[in-house]
Amino acid sequence: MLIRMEFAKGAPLKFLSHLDLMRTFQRIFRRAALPLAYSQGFNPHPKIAFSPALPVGAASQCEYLDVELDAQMSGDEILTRMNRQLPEGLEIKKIKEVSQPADALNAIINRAEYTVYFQTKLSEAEVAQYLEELLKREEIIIEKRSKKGIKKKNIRPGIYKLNCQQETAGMCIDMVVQTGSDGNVRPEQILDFLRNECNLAITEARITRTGLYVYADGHYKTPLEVVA
Amino acid sequence: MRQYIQEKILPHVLKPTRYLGNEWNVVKKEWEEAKVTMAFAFPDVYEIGMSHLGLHILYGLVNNRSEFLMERVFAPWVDMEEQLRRHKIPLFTLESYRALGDFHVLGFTLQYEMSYTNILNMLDLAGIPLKSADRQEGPLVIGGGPCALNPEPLAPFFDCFLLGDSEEMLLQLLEITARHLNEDGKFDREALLGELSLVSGIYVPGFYQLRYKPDGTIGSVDPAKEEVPPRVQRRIVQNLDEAYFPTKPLVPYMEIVHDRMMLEVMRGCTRGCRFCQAGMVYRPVRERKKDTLLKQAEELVQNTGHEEISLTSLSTADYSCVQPLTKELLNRYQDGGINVALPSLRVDAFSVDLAAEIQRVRKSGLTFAPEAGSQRMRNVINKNVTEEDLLGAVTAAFRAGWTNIKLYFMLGLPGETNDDLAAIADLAKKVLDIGRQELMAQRGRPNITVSVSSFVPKGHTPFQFEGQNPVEELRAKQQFLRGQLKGRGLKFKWHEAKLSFLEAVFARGGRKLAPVLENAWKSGCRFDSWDEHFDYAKWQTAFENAAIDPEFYANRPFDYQEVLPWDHLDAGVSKAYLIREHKRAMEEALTHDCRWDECTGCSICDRFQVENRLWGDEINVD
Repeated sequence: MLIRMEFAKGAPLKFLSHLDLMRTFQRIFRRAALPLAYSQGFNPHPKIAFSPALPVGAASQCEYLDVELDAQMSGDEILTRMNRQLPEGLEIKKIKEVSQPADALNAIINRAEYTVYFQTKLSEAEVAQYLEELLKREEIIIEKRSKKGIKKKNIRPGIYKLNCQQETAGMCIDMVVQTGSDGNVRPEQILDFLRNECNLAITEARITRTGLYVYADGHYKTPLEVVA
Repeated sequence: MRQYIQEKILPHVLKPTRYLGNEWNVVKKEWEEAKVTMAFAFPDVYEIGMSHLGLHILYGLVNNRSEFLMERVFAPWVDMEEQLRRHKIPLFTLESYRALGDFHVLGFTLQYEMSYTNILNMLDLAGIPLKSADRQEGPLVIGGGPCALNPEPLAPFFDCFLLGDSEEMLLQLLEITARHLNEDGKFDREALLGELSLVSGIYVPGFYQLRYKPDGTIGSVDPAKEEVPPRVQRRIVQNLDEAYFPTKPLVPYMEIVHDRMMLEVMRGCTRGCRFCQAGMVYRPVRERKKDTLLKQAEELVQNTGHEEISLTSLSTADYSCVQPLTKELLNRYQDGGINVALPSLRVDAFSVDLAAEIQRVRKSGLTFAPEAGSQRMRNVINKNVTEEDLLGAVTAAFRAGWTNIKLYFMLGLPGETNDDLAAIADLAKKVLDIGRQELMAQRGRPNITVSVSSFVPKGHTPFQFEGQNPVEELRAKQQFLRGQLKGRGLKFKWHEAKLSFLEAVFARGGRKLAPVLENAWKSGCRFDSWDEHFDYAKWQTAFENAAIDPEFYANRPFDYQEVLPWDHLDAGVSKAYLIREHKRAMEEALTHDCRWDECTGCSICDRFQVENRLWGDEINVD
């Protein structure tokens, strides 16, 4: 049976890389003695798949994973067993048993929502002005460092929403960007652009992912809503 | 503090996960409720320190006692050091982010000589005076682990050392410390050390007076006080089967060097390789019973969720119950996707067959350590391995589907000739040929990696009397082998000769080296065992400034009569035995293993009331 879960990755674990998180979940499942299904072949490994990687340094209120079990087990039982094995900073929020074959999370999720808190001397109106100008641009070119050297990339098509609000904890930008296998925009890239191109002093940025969605036909759905 | 560091500092270091300290099975205790607080310090990075079994043993042992508390600290990487110094934050433990200076006891594990500058750096980062004599207050600084058996280059920096198996006396040390604490948690260092020096296995270097001869060698080492013992004996866990073992070890988030469950099947090895310090100072052989290990494995699986069980020891194929144990582990855990791994393979077909039976994953390759290329040289070092053994082992390995074979050798061994050196290359080529033949049918290609280290003479071994080859000679030998080991399927790896030289200096040197260490650290030496940080020029200047000739320690043969810097520390094997074994080496005579044969007279069993303890009824010798 296939289980799809929604989980939160809190501040204590925000420095874990995607690989670290995958390893951590494998160990949680083992300790919880869930009846994991293993891949065939020479080097069997448990069948677990994750939603698109969260940037290192960011917390999240809603990550997703699919895990395949080779025996029936109720969602409550799974949750009870897992809760005993969860480290501080991980929380399982929802569990859904998927009855029909489901598309891989990585293939269907295409939108991510983030809130970014930071310290700045600018007023809400001033920051809003900057964001508005940013969205008017045809191109927002950033430099991507990869193993093959520095590549230029236009991230403007992958930015769908930028709103700001002054709150007690600091200035807050709410953003919706592209994610998944077709392309990925990271909040840090937008912040860097604001710092470098617009000379915006942004310090102590705290990034939280607040939503991962499957966007189709003008509708946003969560990965739990698209499976039966 | 934690929040400040995680918000302001960790985003700016390369691997923040090293400093989180919230791993699964972490023990966080109320500071106020602990009578004695101790920080365990590993003077290298997190990934290496967390792979060290000794840490997990002591962490569990101490934290199981309600009145004691132990937290961890590792050497901060250079980026973190820079941040700490810039923000003026003293070095802290991972569990509570508390400064090391707040603890009653600070214990460093001494695993290898090239970590010594990191120890000074950690003391400095913590704001603790480097020298014992300058510490009016602050923690008792102690050291343990293999290098504690010749800790003399570190003597002025440490209050005391624990010789041997620390789990035998650490709790005792903490109990005594508890008695010496006054109301505000302070203690009289001199009085505490006075009492500790009476405990068997605890060595207080400050209580010994050294006199030197005009030629720079040691004249005598005398206790400065009446009641201090003239020699300190190593402490030994006699019954390993009943000894404490941590079955709730910390499970790290980041990938570490040995990212798996560790089952310690036995401690000690009596094969008697004459270069091997571990084989000499961890005697006698003490095994755990199969059922004890199965129970520990069960708890480890439940408590960690790791995907691999590693059977650790100095030579696991020699464990008398290795076959029934591995079979049973596979029966129980294979379906749960858990592998069993043998980290140390003996050079014989038995070991390979065993590995083939249990390791479903063949991608990693196998490693063998014949140590020397010629039979003559293998007899000199008492490595009871023949060419036939090795060729049989690699044939079995290729047949079982392995294509990557790693061979470990040493160059610069005592009495080495050009023929012995050439034999290393010949042997590697023979292995390659066998690989080509065996893999032809499977269309595979053998990859042979020949990894050659330079021989470093170590204290408490029969080769402690031998000088190391001069650096130029080591380099010439490396160049020669490099020329010989070219071509498809062969890869040659070697170690920086100057680093091996430094290792020999500190392995065979004494107290006079302490100023060198301090100079080197002051001039910026850290992480010396890391290629990117090793800077010999700084060391050279440090030797010059301290007016020390390093070759006097590394390259000079020691006379049998000479008083050696570690002679007053009794590791168990007698000097008479070491001299006898050294002479036998020169005669190319073999000495058997006292596990399966009669006593070889190292004297440990009589003098320490211990014995080899094996549980199996069959011997796995081909």
